Order: sequence, then structure tokens, then C-alpha cells
Amino acid sequence: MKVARLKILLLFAVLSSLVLMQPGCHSPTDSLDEYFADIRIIDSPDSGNVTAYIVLNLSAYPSEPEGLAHYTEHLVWQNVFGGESSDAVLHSNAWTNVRTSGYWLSGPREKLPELLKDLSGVFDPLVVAAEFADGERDILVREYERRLLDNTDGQAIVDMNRFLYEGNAIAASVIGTPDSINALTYGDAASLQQATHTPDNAFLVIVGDVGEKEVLQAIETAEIPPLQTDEVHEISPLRFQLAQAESAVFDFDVAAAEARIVLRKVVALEQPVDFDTLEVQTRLLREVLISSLPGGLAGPLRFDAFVARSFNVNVFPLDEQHIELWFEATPDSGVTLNELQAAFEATLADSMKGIPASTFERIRKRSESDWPDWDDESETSRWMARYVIQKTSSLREPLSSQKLQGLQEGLSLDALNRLLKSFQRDGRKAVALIQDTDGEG
Amino acid sequence: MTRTVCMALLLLMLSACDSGKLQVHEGVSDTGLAYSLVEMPGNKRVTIQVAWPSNWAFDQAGNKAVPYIASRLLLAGGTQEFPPSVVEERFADIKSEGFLMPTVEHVYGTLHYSPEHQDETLRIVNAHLQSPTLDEKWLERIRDEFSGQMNEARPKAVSKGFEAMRWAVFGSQPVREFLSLDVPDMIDEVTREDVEKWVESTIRRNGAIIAVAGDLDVKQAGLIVDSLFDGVPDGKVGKSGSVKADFSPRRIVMHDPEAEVSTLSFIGKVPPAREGGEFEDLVLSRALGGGNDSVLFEAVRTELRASYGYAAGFQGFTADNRFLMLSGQVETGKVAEAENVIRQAYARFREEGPDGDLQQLRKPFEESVNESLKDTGRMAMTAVVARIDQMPLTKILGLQDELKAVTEQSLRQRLSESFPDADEFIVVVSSPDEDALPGACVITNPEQAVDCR
Repeated sequence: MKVARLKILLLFAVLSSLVLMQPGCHSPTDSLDEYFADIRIIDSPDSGNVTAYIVLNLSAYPSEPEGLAHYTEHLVWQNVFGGESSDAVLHSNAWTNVRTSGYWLSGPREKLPELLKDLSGVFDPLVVAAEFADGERDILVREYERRLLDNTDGQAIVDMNRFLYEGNAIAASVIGTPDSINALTYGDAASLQQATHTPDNAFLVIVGDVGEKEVLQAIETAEIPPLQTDEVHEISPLRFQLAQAESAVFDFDVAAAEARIVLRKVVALEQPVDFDTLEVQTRLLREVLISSLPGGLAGPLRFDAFVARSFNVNVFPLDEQHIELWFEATPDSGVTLNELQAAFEATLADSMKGIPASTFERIRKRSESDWPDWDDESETSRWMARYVIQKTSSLREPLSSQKLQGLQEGLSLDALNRLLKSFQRDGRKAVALIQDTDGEG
Repeated sequence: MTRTVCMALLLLMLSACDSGKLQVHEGVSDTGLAYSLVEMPGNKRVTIQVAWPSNWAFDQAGNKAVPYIASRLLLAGGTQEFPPSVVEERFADIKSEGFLMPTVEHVYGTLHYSPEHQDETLRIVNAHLQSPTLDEKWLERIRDEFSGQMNEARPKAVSKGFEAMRWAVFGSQPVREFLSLDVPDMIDEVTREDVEKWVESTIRRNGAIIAVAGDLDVKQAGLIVDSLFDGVPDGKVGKSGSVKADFSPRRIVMHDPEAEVSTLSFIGKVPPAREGGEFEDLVLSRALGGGNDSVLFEAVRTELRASYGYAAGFQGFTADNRFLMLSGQVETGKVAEAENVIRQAYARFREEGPDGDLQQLRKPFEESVNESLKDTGRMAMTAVVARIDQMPLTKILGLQDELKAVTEQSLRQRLSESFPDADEFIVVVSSPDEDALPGACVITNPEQAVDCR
């Protein structure tokens, strides 16, 4: 059983006996190894409250039918919190993505045992009234309507995901469609809950002014049993498989729509790169591309010529060997979407000839503010809490703060240029054109 | 809307966790500009917040879209010395940020920066205030962008519902036009001349309400203010505007056969924030409709199963016309039932007050206050709002006590004296079903709401 050995503890030197220690998550004791697949504790000394998260790994289970994991999360929530939760709970919520479902409770620090007791209810078999379960499908349809109905951009993303990520779990829509939602059954949800909502398939993350001993005591007070099985769920991040190289265009004819384009491309790298390093590199590459500095897109598209009146770029890794470029833009007056696309691709090709060192240095200096002030205990705690939750919910191991600081030092212009040139390779490309083809929009 | 944001920030920010550290001062700069200073020792950022009183929204004549376009163009269009791309990149280097936001009664200007880049930041921003290029091509770009966004949003049923609400409250007064921007072609017709006129009448020394927050003393803050306003014309302070608002209760169906969902909203007038009770309002609105443990969530989602989420909050058309809004998408077939359920749940809430331990109800706001004490942006805005509301600046240092002074009794008193009665709301539903609210006034165009009585 693996237990995170990350330590985050910042102490200010008040007396000579106090020293600044290497920031990180607390490393749980061996006793805590007996509970959950993995435990991460983030010290947050300022807060009188504590937040407990249980994050369940869904990666071993099919992402179809679409919406099932989300439906299951809603029913589990009702199962656990729909009745009387303890007075300890101040705030609560849950989420589902293609990799994980997560549930969290927040309350006074001294109520951690009650919070954990309540939260561990996610492992109990589903016992929800049939009427409620049926009605909850309607609620999911309401949620779909709120998020995606009349939201062309959202719908475009869903369609593009299905194409770009074909064959991968992340191609599926977490929320599903009204048809897929209405076809979900209580039995399906109960089966998925039984298969996935188990302590050995779960991460426990605690954020608050608590240490290992207190967490262990709280687990024991909450009567959460130690793991019985010797078989460990191997929890690892989803690996991406790129389907055959292909391009697709998605046309959205929307009355009165402001014309805009979304262009996304997924490619494979020649060699795998450490994921955390790749995240930092792609973030930096994104900052270069969005700028008007030499090598960036904004000069040719937005300032030197009036082609894109607004645009955004993102570059991010899907796994150690696949990255995605995401470009969305609105054209200036008199420019068609096809002309905008052509201008973007030509400008990108120019950038691929090489980002100048001066641009790289300037952007790298700016990126220092992406990180917290490691000397500020409060800021670092908050940052690390968000970071650890984000990593946990994508089934990735969080790094210690020392290793995170090392990532900045490892950035190089060559690596960035290599990444950028990767987008010349064949891959899967999707273009969404959103406009009012009948009107003047 | 800005008003309520400001008030919420005010409430969140006005606290003195470590009252020995935070100090407030009033000053007058060497060139005669009055300002407030929130002294925040050890803070690594500085914020200057300005509020220029504006009566553009109240003026019968004049294109109400101008402030929106002009405020964007002034910053985006660059100056002779600082072309747009240069400013963007330099501000990104030095982590400075500047914003201009027009509202009904004020134009808010905000500037954040790090002290080591103060001189350069002030020089760049001062140039934009003194002599912006107001480039024609950028004007066209900004107009097109704003117009495109509004044209896409306006036909949506939910937008029509809110427009109908504004017609019901304001009729054809200029303020409604300013908020809705629904006069045909008004955005496209904004000219460079309009923008120049707006800049001349708005960006001025006279009447500017100024606050600075950061690790500064009074003298330093005065020098900053003078640098920012160097060369800015004195200008004239116009007469304040006024508007008549009609919040009398009505029930309206904004019928849109093309709509795919129904959105049900209630608005009811509440006293201006400057009259107090703001912490009570925050605590109560959260308990009423601020999350998955709230009264409305329970009533509309958990029990009626009609909505994914139904919320409550405060907004303000103007300082005097502040309102409580309850709103959310509701299953079309359940709108009528939802109206009754919401009224009943609200009435019960108003009668009995919120459930739960008072300390727990206050807790989220205590935490927010602690965070806000470290935020120069929030503190500077707080100070500006205090000046606008003619409250003593020292109130900033005592709000933690005001939050602690929220009691079950004060909550009940606030509910009974300041929250609208359950029958006093204007109810508007935008829906594909014209019978969504039996007995309601059915309209097919937002303007028709004026005749709904």
C-alpha cells in the first residue's frame, strides 16, 4: 500500500530553535498505510477549519454509458448527505471527471472524526429511494440544460473531444446527453458504486491544521476499518492512445452568433517527457504564443494586422507523450473564419522556425509568478492544497514543493522549440466554426 | 450589480483582525486631490482605486453605449508613446493591471502594481488618462466585439426575461437603456467624437473619489495620486442623476416559443447598503440561496425536483435601488408549482429566520474577512465605497466587530423590516410555455412589461 511521503510544513524562525523546513505534504506514518490506497495531508496552519476529500479512481471502468459516473456521484451524495449529516459539516460538495469522482466535507478542525465518519459513507452500499433515483435523472437533465443547452461553445468542445480523443476514456462526455441520462438505471449506478467506491480504490486528502497523529486518531474514532485485502488497486494515470491522423470540421450555424473559430490539434511527441516537466513547458509555450513578442501570435494576428480581434491559446499535455494545442479566436471585421484560420496557421508556422532567446527569457521571468511565494506559509498552503487536489483528481502523484521549484530551473529554449515543432507532425485536428451563416454575424 | 459587489467586498474587507497593523488615513495631495489611504504594512502590492461620479446613464440625450466602448478604448487603444502591444507586454512583465468599468453612477478605475514598478506603471497609465490615442481602428474593433457579444446574447430567452424586468422597473427612462443597450445600432453608432466627449467629461480631477492601499504612508500615497493625475484636466462635476424605480409586485411571462428552458426570477426592493445591515444580508442570502445546504436549494431541487440549482443574492441597479433576487432555471412543466414553493419557502424563511448555529452561519464571512485584509484591491475599493456612502473611513477597522454583532435577533429584525414580503416581488419567467404562470401578464416582447400591472 502506497502512502504519500510528501511533506509540507512551513515554520517561521521565531526563535533559533525554529527552522524553515522543506515545504511539502505531511508524510503519514506507517499506521496510516493501513487505510485507503493513498493519503495526503496538507498543512494549513491559518485555518480553524479542516477539509477532507475522498477521491475515487474510475479509470479501470468504462466511461460508457455517458453520464453514469456523474449519476452515481449524485446518488452517493444523497445516500451520504441527503439525510441528517452531522453538525460538524459546514460545507460540502462533490465532482466527477473522466478519471475520478470526489467528495469533500469541511468543518471545524476538532470535528475531523465526525467529518470522516460522514464522508466514509461513500463506501456504503447505495440505498436510495427509487423515486429519488428516478427524479435525480431529471436533475441531471436540468444540469445538462444549464451547462450545455444554448451553449454552442460547450457543445463544440464535447463534439471535438469525441473526435480528438477517440478510443480514450477522456473522449466521453461526463455529463452525457439527455438521451443517455434518461437511459441510466439505478442498477447501473449501484454496480458502479460497488465496484469503485472502496477504500483501497480511494485517496484521502486532508487540508487543515492537522498532523499525521490527529488524522490517524480521527480515522480510528470514525471507525473506518483498515484495509482487509492484500490486493492493491494499481492506480495510475490514464495513458493516451492517439487514433489515426485525421482532420474534422464541425460547423455550427447559430442565429445571431458572433463568428468564432476553435482549432485544436493533438500530436504525439517523438520521445516521452516527464509529465510534470511537460506541464511546465507547455504552460510556458502557451505564454510565448499568446504574446506579441517575436515568436508569439499576437503581433501578426492582433497588433501588426487586424485579423483576430481577440484570441486565446492553450497548450497542455494529455500524458507523457501527447500534447494538445488549442486556439480560439474571433475575427476582425471583414475577415472570414477561413481567412483567420489560414492566418493563424501561417503565423504558427513562422513561430515554429524558432522562438528567439530574448522572448524565451522574458516569458520565463514572467512565469515566476505562476508559483506561490514559497516563503509565505499561508499562500503556499493554499496553493499546495489546490495543486494536490488537482493532481489527485487526475490520478497523478503530487510533487514536493522542493521538486516543484526544481521544475522551473529545468526549462530550456530548445525544449520549447522542440515542443512547438511537434505540432508539425501528423495528428488529429478538429476545427469548429461557429457563425450565423444566414445573417450578417 | 457593481454596487452589490462593492458592498459585498466592503463587508468582506472591512475588518481588523490585527487592528494594530491596518490603519486608515485621509489626505490631500500637494496638488489638492483628496484621497484615502489604507495603510497595509508588509503588503507587496499597491492598489489605486478611483471612482468618477457619472451621470451619463441618466442623461436623456446621448448614446448610452458610449461609456462601455470608451472605457475599453481608452486603455486598449494606446498612446503615442505607448502603443497597445508595448503596453500589454510591459504590463505583463511587471505584473501591473489596469481596468476601467462604467456603472450607472460611477466609472471605476483600478490599478494594481508592485512598488518596485511604481514609477513606470504610473507613467504609462497617466499617459493613457492624459492623451489616449483613441485609435479609429481600435474603436471599430471594440465596437464590433461588444456589438457581436450583445447581439448574440440578446435573443436568448433568459436575456429577454431580464430585459422585461428592467422595463417593468424603469420603463423608458435612460437608465434602462444604459443597462440593457437595446436601442438598435446604438453600439455601432458610437463615434470617436462620442468617446472624446466621454473622456473629457469623465476622466477629470474634480469630483474623483480616490483611495490607495498598500505599504505606504500618507505622503507617499499623495505623491502617487499626483503622479497618476498629472496633467488630467480639472473638468466639471455634473449634476447627479436620479431615476424613479417601480418595484410594485407583478407576475410576467416573457413568452418565447423558441426557448428551450424556463428561467424563473423574483426581485424585491431592499434598503440601500449605506443604511446598514449588510452583514445580516450576507448571512441571510447565503442561508436562503447560497449553496447546496440553502433553503431554496432544498425547496426547489431536493423537494420539488424542478431545478439543478436555485439561488439568492443582492444586486443594485443604483445605490438607492438595491434588490434581492431569487433566480434559476426551472423545468418548464413545474414553473407554476415552483413559484408557489419558492414563495412559501421564502415566507417561512422570513418568518422564522435561518436554521443552524449562528457561529457556523458567520464562519464563512469571518474567513473571507481575514483574506480580504491582505488584499490591496479589496481594501482600496472598500475605502472608495465608504467615501461614496459618506461613512467614516474608520469603519473599515471595525467590521469584524460588526460581523460579531450579527445575532439571531438582528437577523430576524432584518428579515422582518428590510426583506420584501413574499407577495411583494416582481416575478418574471422566460419560457416557451405562455401558460407557465397562470393568471400572469403574458408578453412576447420585453418592452410590453411596462403595461403589466
